[in-house]
Amino acid sequence: MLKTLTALAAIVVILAALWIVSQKPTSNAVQISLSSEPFPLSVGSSTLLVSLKRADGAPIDNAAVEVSGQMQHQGMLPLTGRTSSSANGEYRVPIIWPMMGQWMVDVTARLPDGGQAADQYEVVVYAVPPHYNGSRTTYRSVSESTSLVTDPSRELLIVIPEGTQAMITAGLIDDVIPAAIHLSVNGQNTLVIQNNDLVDHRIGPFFIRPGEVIRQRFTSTAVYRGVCTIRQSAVVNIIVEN
Amino acid sequence: MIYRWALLILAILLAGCSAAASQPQASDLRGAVFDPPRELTDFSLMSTSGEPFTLSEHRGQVILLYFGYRSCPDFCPTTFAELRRVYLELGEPANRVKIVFITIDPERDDLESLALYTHAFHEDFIGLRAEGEALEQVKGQFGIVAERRQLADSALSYVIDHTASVFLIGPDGRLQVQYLYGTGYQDIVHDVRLILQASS
Repeated sequence: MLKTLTALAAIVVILAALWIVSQKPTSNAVQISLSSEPFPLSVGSSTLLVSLKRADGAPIDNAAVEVSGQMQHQGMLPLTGRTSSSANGEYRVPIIWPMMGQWMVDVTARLPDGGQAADQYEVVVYAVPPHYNGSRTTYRSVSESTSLVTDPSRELLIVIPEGTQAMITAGLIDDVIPAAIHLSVNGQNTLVIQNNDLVDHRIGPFFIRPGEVIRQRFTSTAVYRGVCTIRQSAVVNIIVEN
Repeated sequence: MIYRWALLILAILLAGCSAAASQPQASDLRGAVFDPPRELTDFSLMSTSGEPFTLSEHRGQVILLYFGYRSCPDFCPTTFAELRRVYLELGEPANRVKIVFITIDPERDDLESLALYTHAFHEDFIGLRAEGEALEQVKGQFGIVAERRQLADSALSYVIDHTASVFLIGPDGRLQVQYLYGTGYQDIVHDVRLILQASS
């Protein structure tokens, strides 16, 4: 009898665990995604595409969507656009971009049920349409761009922002990282590189494609000298000391 | 009876949890880990075995891939000596681990000479050769740099400065780990074992 009860209890626990694991989130949160035509953006006319969905993937129509683009540039007025018409949860907002560079785009949606949803995106506007054949078709929200969790006491994180190569080519930014990256076997011994740009990058011996993260823990002293695509001098030294 | 069934279900669930937990994490591996692992476009190159080597036909195996050239005086022989130690230490059958050398000097390395070279390290090692765009496409996926440097007063005529990393392609056919030049063979053995264990 005791064995049967124990067995039944075990089955109940197992089934409960399975049920909990199999449950999808039932939150009514709104998912906003931002894309554009063309993708990625370049100076001139474009259309921002804002997609609104419930957590279960159901599109949200009849919302009032507003986008606002700001550039950290003295004298540059913010750009705004609005629309209430949509198809299958997608809202099209025409915008004319007057200048290349990094823009912060705020998307705000007043929902038909009275609620509100908002998100902020880092958007790079290129001077000329870049050659891009990657798989990404939406912009990263600010929270997503900084979501990589690292331990600063052990890991040195280098993030290559979107648009880096274009900015370097245009002479708008100089070196993204110093000429020497110092690591210590007994301290900060792990190099983490995240490539958020649309193009391949090379930092010393590491070749990183768009969207990739590469993580190397060093266990012995070494010096790696090599090409660097995020420095004007095009050279970097990775120095691992004791 | 119910008791036995409950134990059986529990054992299956625990086995599942254990398998999931055994997937190697970036922090478990000793090389430079790609997250996510890089999707590779399939390629098929002529090999020293006499048959084409097609990447997609090696799913389920770990491939340790190196780009070099037969006349290389330093990095290539050193790396391949380490890969020999890796292979011997692993003791895995050849259908589980493949050690592959792609020549970046097809002008001087024909398949016959490549076979002599790779087999000098181990008879299971495979040499691959391609020219022109076919070679460039494969190199491009791994970001291989290879620049010819002329040598005056040398029988070699030229050497090639090149990427000297070993690349680990996992059983799912994706690029998972890169080992910088100088990585100890024990570290590669450690990672290959973890990856094979996780996939089996």
